[in-house]
Amino acid sequence: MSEPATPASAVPAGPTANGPAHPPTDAALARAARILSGDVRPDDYLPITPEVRRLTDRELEYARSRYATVGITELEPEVERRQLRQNLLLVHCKHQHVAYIEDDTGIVVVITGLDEIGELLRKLPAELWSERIATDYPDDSIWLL
Amino acid sequence: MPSFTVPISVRPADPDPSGPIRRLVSARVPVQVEVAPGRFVGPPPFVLDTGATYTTMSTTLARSRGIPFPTGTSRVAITTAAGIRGGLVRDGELRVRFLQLPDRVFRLYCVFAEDVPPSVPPVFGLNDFLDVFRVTLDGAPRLGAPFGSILFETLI
Repeated sequence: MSEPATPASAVPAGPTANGPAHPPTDAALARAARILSGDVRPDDYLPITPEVRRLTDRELEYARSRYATVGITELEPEVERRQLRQNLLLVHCKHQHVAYIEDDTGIVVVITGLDEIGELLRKLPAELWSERIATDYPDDSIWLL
Repeated sequence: MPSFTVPISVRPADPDPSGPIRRLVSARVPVQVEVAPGRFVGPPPFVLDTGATYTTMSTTLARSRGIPFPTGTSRVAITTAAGIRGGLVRDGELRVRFLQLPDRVFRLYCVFAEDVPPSVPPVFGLNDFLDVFRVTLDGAPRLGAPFGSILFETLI
């Protein structure tokens, strides 16, 4: 597990790790409120790193091979978008509880951490997050049962 | 009755070049859970688990997401791949809606388990899920779903 790093407003796009249970900082909540209020900045979006691209390209290659078996020749944009976003969360937020929003541009992490998400939901007005916020625990573990 | 499909999630994998595992398939189903009247939050996607008796969620996860659960607990014998053990659970329910069918909220019985870590994804088990949905798992590639899809047909 990495060091705790619920992103502060000084690090706009850098949700990097979960950490031990603790409440979010005021700066983290202020950043979350800013994003949920609609003030999303370009560097808030999770970046498409070479690793994100590599994973996505491998999955799209596999998808094309699956499509070829039934005569479909072109991948729809929605497939690439779905795989890309899955990998953005996996690469940037693996093994962390993460709350995020999506728009046409990409994914913006609102806050990370189990307790931090809870605090956000309790402290920010529901109008800001209801029906908008998604949460996940990105993980590529193999489940045998 | 309304129906919707969810693409099956697949990731190519090669953890052991001489072994059998070549792809990781997951029946992940994104949902929103009602945490207060008219207020919804998206927990981690549920996994549709035909081997699970009940829809189950970690109590710690539910607490974090503000999902209401009963205060009363009971201790039951829980069988997992790791064996049989006692577990502290709470009998509750979830009010869920699916992104593809946002106008409908479905009430599902749910076991909130104290001993399940919050990193474990919540699962849709069979208990009353099949009273609400007819489910078809279809691995055939189709438009928008190269790895197949899950068809949910509402029954109520």
